[in-house]
Amino acid sequence: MSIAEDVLTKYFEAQRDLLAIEGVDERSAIISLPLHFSANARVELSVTRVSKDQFVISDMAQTIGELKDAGYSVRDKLRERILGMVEISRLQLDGNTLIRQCSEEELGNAIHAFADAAKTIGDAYLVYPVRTRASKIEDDLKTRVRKAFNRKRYFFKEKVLVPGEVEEHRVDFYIHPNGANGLALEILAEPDRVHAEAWAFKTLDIRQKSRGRVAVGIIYNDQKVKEISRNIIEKVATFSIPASNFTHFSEQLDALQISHGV
Amino acid sequence: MPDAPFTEAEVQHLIAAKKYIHKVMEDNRRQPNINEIRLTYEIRRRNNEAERLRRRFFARLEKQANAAVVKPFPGVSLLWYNHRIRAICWRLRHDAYRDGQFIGYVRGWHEKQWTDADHDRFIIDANSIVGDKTGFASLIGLCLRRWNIEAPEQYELGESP
Repeated sequence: MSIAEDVLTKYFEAQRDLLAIEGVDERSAIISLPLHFSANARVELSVTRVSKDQFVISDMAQTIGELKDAGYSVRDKLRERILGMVEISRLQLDGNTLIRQCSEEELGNAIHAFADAAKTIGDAYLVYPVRTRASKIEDDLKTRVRKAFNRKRYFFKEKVLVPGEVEEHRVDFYIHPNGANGLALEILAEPDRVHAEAWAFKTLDIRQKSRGRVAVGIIYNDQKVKEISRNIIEKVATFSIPASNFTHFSEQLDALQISHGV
Repeated sequence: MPDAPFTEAEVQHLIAAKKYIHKVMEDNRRQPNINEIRLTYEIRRRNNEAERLRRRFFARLEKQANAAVVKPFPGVSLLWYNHRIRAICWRLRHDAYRDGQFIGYVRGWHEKQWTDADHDRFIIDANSIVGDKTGFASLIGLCLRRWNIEAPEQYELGESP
């Protein structure tokens, strides 16, 4: 046996072991191919004979399902992009299901092209890590702030729009001044430079509009902050507290004589 | 892989703890012309009702595109901070990884179990657990019981779509 034949034989033997196929009924079968969406779930296709010479291949909505499971919102724009990616393989999108019709002669190539297209979609979107919509540290800090406010009997609101000279700004916590000193408090779990600069503007805008009666406090995640962002936050906010130093939060409220909000 | 905001031990502790459905976040079973049925519950821990830790129970069933396409099976997952910490779903063949090593595969129903090293790539065979409860409502009921989530009876009523 020549080296070429030897390699080809080994390759086909391996492929045979890696493939899985199961009949669903007398017309349909499901085939599981050794191709993976971002090295996790395999590409699986159903093949149904619809007439003597015609077959329908579908992904049983698994490709878009994988995107949804990874946190993507599959709407019109993403659908358009997916269609653009699979057009060359003559695939159609019916609801969330990718479909291709082919003749018996085309079946082998069609399965291969379909699987290739499905994997391309998966690779294009799933290789990037899942974005966590909210961080645990942010939730933990918010819980601690709520407890501190409740312990000291402050009347506070959450996710409130606070007026500024230029525009309104949404803050995580707000205590109305009611003739004394108010407080707008923001939790920055990802205090990168963009956020720090944005909050520098927001702080100045809120303080200008309230003529200094609303203090702006920022509690930031000091495990993720860089020096430049820390400098911006510390210089502009009325007070700033690193998460690891949260015990000073109550002292700050007392020092600034924040109104109890009622 | 991205870092998760919890550990495998915390996940196991959470699964063992008594939980309940705090609210229905999404249920489109009564809507016409939908591509998929989606059901999302917010889950909270019993005896710690005020705690909000972004746990979601998520069930999904894709509609059969047309009669020529094989009908998909439903899938149910328990998400924590948008990470799949438990899930039961069907695949003809799904590879299983433990500590980054390929350890074999499962055919059919399997349960994803979160681990520190492999996240949701570690799976166990769930064919005997699921049995013939492959309808949408019965799979939801099974997962609620299996993951210690109490549900009022009316959540489990109704025929599978």
